[in-house]
Amino acid sequence: MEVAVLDYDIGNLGSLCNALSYLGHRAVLVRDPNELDGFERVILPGVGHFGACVSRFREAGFERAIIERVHAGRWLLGICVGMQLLFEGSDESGEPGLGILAGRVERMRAEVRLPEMQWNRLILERLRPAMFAAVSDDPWVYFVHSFAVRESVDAIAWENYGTRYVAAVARGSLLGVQFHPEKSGRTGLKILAGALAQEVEPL
Amino acid sequence: MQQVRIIPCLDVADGRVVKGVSFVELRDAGDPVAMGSNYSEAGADELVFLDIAATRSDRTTIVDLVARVAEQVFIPFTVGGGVDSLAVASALLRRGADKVAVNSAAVRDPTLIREIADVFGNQCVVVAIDVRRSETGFEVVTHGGTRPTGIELSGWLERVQSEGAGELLVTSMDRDGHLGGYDQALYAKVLTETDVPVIASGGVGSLDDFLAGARLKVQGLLAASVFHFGTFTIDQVKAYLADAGVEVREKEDLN
Repeated sequence: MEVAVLDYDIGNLGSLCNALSYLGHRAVLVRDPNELDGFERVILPGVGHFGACVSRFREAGFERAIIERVHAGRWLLGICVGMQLLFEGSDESGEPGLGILAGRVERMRAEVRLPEMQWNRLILERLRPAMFAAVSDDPWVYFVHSFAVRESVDAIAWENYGTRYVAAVARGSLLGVQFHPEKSGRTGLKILAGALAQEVEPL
Repeated sequence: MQQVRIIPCLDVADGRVVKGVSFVELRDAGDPVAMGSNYSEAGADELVFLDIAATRSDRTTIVDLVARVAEQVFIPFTVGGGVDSLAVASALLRRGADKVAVNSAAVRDPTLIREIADVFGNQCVVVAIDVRRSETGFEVVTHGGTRPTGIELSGWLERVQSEGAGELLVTSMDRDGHLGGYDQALYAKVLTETDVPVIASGGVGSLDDFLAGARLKVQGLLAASVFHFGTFTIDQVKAYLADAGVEVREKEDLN
């Protein structure tokens, strides 16, 4: 299927496009919010600085289109800072987030080296959503971040890096992952495939 | 908790993976695309690609080769060698590299680190530092180990961190390819003086060398010769570490 990947000048989309191609999908980089309508599946990537990401996201005119899509119950996957943007805000920046999910992104505790740039085990809920249907009970995935969400009512997976942080969220057809499925080997590809296979349901 | 990554390194010259001793006496080790794909499937935690012939390489050819490797590699992928501008970094990141490693160009102009970090984030910028023991401590060398800089390591570590380095790839030129173990004093010093992730590189020859590296608490253990020439598989290294109580990422079910 065709998968829209939001391209708002935040860097390396090559890895994600490669992973989607490998899974038999066609990644379409979308720079214009008006072009999103035709896509069932939209991925919101994000790397680097929360403030820079959210500013460029707004400047590109994506905010309204994405909020409307989510409220209409349409499928969206946020990856890394793309997941963080869904929350109310971040310690990394004074810029507010999209506020679709309740909670804030906090600076991770510094008793461990930051950024966390490593593989870590996921701690999954017993009832697995489609995204995690095909992976082991405590799969290893790759994280790169210095900021994270501590608590969310929508959390469906956690990681432990000094303390517990949210690793994935789901609310209806809205999905978010703090880790990089496109860089998490076979496990990550299964998670990405599972997320893309999820039935679309309303919020 | 904190894990250690096992990282095979592809030193690439003229389209082939090569490996030498103290950066010279290069031997052919194989095709970068096939080797990258094999390491990705074999459970490597990251792959590093260094264009060691960068000064004589055609950039377009290298970016195309990086893109072909990236298509096969679904683990973190770091590319270095000849990254001397934001434009080069951007081209590599757009074609599938996840991080770029800057080395000689950062010594010439340290603000390059900040320039790349501001656009792509600190996590995208690895500063590769080649060092050689000197009478007074450790000296930074550049241009594939051919050019001493007179820069003392401590000052350089401070500078690159202040410019926004997201990770440090520190290679001991004295140990490179000698298979006598990582330079422990070097990494103890680097870990004390920095607070970003550190990858140790240069000299690993035995399973005990990997274990000694892991016990230093560096975040990555880079190796080339022992993997390329089949001394150990990634599995053997991880099994050895796991038996010694070091937690490592388990091999995936490839189905």
